[in-house]
Amino acid sequence: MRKTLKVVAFGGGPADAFIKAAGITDSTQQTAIKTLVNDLNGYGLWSKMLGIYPLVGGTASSHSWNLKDTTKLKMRWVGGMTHDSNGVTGNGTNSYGQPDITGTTGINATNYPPLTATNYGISLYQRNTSVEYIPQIGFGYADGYFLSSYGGGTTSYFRGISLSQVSGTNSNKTGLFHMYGGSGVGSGIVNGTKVATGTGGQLQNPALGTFLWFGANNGAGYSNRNFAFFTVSEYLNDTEAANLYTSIQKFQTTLLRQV
Amino acid sequence: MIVYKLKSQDVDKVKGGQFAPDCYFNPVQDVDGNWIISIEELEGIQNPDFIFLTLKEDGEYVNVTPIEYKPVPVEL
Repeated sequence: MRKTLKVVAFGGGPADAFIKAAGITDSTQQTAIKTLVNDLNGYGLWSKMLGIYPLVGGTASSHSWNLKDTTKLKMRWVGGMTHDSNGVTGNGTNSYGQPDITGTTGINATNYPPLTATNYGISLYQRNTSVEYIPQIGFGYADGYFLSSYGGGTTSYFRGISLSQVSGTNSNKTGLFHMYGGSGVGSGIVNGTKVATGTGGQLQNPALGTFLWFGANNGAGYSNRNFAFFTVSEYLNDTEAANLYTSIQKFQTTLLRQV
Repeated sequence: MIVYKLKSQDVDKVKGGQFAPDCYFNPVQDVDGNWIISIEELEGIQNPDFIFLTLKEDGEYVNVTPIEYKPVPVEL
């Protein structure tokens, strides 16, 4: 009897599930998704991811699926978000995306271990800039947010909850903004480069609480920018955060929407 | 920017309602206290429960009123 050895790349399972759920029929997009899964796995990042939103397919429905697990944390699009091949664009009035946590008490250590206030990572890929004074991600608590720039300035802010934040000079207004909190430290990484870091209470209480608001500040301010990727993960160290950027930038380049 | 003012009796019905697959209304109040939705929501309505918002007579919306958006100032 002749035996055939079939080699299945890691990207096959979860990538295929996502492609099927999101109705992705374009071969370039399919390849980009499978390559992304393989790259994240190759860098040891896959197991640390909780929510991966590639925002591919061009519709609200295709943009809602979580690549990491299509049975969890499907994104809800709230308000007047616009969807196209470049991802999602806020209207600056009432739009945001929010992982669906129906039936749970939130994205936290109870529902999604091992996430805790000192073990989290959140990122967004921003394709354009505008002068706005509100954060691009809110963390559900009143003072938790992520702000790539304030009023077009050259400082980025990464804030956990209340009182303190870390900030740093950053001339890059587009690309992948990632913030993470670990034990005793929190940092902001832009396109793989650390631009802000701090210890003490800073960034150690991010909210992985009730909700995450992608493209808005906890219902008090809405972005009008174009976003092409969101992630929620465990804590990533600096090298891992840089590798996340490498993986996502490769994905965006394949889709011809890199910045 | 033009947004669409809801009638007071429709606000609670619209809040959080699903107007299309994976898409939900988010009425917000402007600086004058009007509850408004965006043109993206209005033009994206697929759910029959909310089609009434799109009804027009003589080219004018019947159940929403277009108004200039006057946002509530946001301070960090």
